[in-house]
Amino acid sequence: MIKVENLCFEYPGVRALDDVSFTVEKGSVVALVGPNGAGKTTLLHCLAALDQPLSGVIYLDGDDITQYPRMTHRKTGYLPDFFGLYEDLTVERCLRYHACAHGIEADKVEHAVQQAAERLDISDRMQVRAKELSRGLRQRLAIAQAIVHEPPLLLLDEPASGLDPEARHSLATLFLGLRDLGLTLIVSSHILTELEAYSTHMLVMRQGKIISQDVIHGHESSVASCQLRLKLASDFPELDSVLKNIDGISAVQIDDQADVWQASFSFSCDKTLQHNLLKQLIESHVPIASFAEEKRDMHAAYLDKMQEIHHV
Amino acid sequence: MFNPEFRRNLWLEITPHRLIGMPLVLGAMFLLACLLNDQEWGQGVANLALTLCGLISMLWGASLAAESILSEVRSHTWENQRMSAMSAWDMSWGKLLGATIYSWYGAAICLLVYLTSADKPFPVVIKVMLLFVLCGLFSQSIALVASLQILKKDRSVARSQATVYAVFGLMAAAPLLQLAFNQRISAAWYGITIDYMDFILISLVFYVAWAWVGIYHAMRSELQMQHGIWGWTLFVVWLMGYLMGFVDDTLVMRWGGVGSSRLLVACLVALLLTYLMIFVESKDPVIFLRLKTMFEQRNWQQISRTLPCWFITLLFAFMICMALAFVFPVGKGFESSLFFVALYLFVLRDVCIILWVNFSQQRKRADITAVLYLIVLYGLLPSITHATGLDILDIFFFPQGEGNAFMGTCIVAVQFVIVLWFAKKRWQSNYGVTTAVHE
Repeated sequence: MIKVENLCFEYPGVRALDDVSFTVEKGSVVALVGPNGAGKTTLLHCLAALDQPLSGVIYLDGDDITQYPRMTHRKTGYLPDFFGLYEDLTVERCLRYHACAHGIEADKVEHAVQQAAERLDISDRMQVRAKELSRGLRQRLAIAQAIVHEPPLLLLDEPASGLDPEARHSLATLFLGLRDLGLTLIVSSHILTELEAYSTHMLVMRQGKIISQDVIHGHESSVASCQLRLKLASDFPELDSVLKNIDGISAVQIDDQADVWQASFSFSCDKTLQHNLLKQLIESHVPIASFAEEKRDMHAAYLDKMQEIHHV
Repeated sequence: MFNPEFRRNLWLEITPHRLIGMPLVLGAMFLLACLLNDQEWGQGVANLALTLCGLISMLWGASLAAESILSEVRSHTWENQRMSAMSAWDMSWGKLLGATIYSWYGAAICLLVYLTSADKPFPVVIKVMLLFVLCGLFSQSIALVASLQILKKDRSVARSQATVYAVFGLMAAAPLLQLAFNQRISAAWYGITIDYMDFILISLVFYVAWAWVGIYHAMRSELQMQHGIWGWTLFVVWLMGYLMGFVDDTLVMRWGGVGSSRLLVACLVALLLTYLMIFVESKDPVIFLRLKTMFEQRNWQQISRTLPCWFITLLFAFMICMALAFVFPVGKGFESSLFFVALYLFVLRDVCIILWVNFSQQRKRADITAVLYLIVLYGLLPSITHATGLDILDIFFFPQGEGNAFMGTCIVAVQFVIVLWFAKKRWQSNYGVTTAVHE
């Protein structure tokens, strides 16, 4: 759905995005994580066609968004970090305005408004002014405004900031619902435990660069790579060479320090390919005791990435 | 309703309470005026009606027009509007007429009172009403285009008061109002004699139309839509053509020839617009980085979409100055054609000074600093040399038309080269390195 190639963005004297390239598949929920100042908000701005990059290309459904920014605006919903509402308008009028502003036909506006309100569970507050809503409800209204035109892509910048745990939980439930509706979401956040509940991919940024793009467990697709862990029943000194000779295996790490021989490596998430790999290992007489995907939570994965970078 | 932005403004601006409040307040004021004028519903009330109409539409309305953008940025709703599917034109008129609708409600009441109280022939009354409507529209349009343009340069200006932009609008429209009420009967334009009020009204229609083109272009930029150089180019040509029409016999006698006099007016327009736009437009070094990359890729179409307006006007100034250097008759105060070459070199030097200041790492008050430098160069230093009797040093500060023209041109050429070198060096040291790494 999104393909970013060699994207560079510069503020005077500061390179905010540095040769950023990645792809986002349709229907995925990408957690955009990284320390403050990593370039997450700038990247979201570029993806929303609100800022023009210095160089590079962003394709949305095959179209270059710098050439067709208005097409991007129609296809995208965006919730900025510091969002604003029309405080003196009622919830109903806020949604109605956004529906009309996004070009929804007059006879379909009512339905769009009701649907967005129901999805965000604010339909009982339609006649309440925006300024009278609580923080959590304001957030819901802002998201409802962003999705009222049912965009295939939704960009959210720190959507859970300032929300209490209960509101965060319901936000996570909402994003799962949107994901099930087929929307593609890119969510920038610091709260990794929340992201884990609904994200399928994690994009880690640091100093304007993408330092990794990983699949989060349980959301593997046929093209993504997974971390696999192999435990052996007995010593097997040839393990390293066996693994390295198999196509598709990378980043092999052998641990023979403890009593149990173990190996960790990257391989396709495709279950058939994993089955074939297991068969191949058994045929190579590897004394396999267990063969499983390594389940690491997002927080641990993120910290590992950051540590790797620091070591480099 | 066809325009969501207009409708949103109606929701916010027009409430029953406000609908009742305006006529009550205005009615009270007109009643007082009537009582103070021997209870006569006549010219005294009409004058008050016009004054109030001017204040409401040209000052308050202009402030509301500017605020329609500034408040969106301040309250973080502007990004949402930029992400909407509304066209630049819908957004422009939705804001211009929607945000000011309540001021027009008040102005309409004032004009109605004027219509019923003015002690003048009906056609004159209608023309005066039209004049105030157009002046109000012009003032509001200028305030809106100024806020959009300056916002493009620096988002932090959203914190500033909309009144500042209303003053811009008032400064643009008030002189026209003043002109309309002077005692002249007719205007001469390209030798054609036109009724003076009619001429002002026709001119105002064009001014308002161009202000709307300006709003539309600025709005397109905000919506990330690209546009070429044609809008600005046509405006420059129109303004030159419009002002050249005022060249009369007195100027022709002084400057020797209709053609050269008109070219001189065109030159003045190009130079003034260059200085105006270079201060109004963003001189973000990233734009120059982008232009450099496009130039290396020979992407002419993209270059034409990115070029700042001041650069286009600078090209106009070059062509006109060179034309003047060839055609201007000798002996009319500009004895050497080198005068116009020197004049252009001074402009180039000033442009480089402004860019040099803007290429600093501390760009916050760059334009004010540049203005100060120009005041020192054109005001303070020449005053010192004059006060000390060293008038000969004028060749360092102004283009020379007589005597020292060649020397003066050489001196300003050297100044230009030095400042250009400094500007280039500063840009390379502050912004050029990152480009080199990622090219």
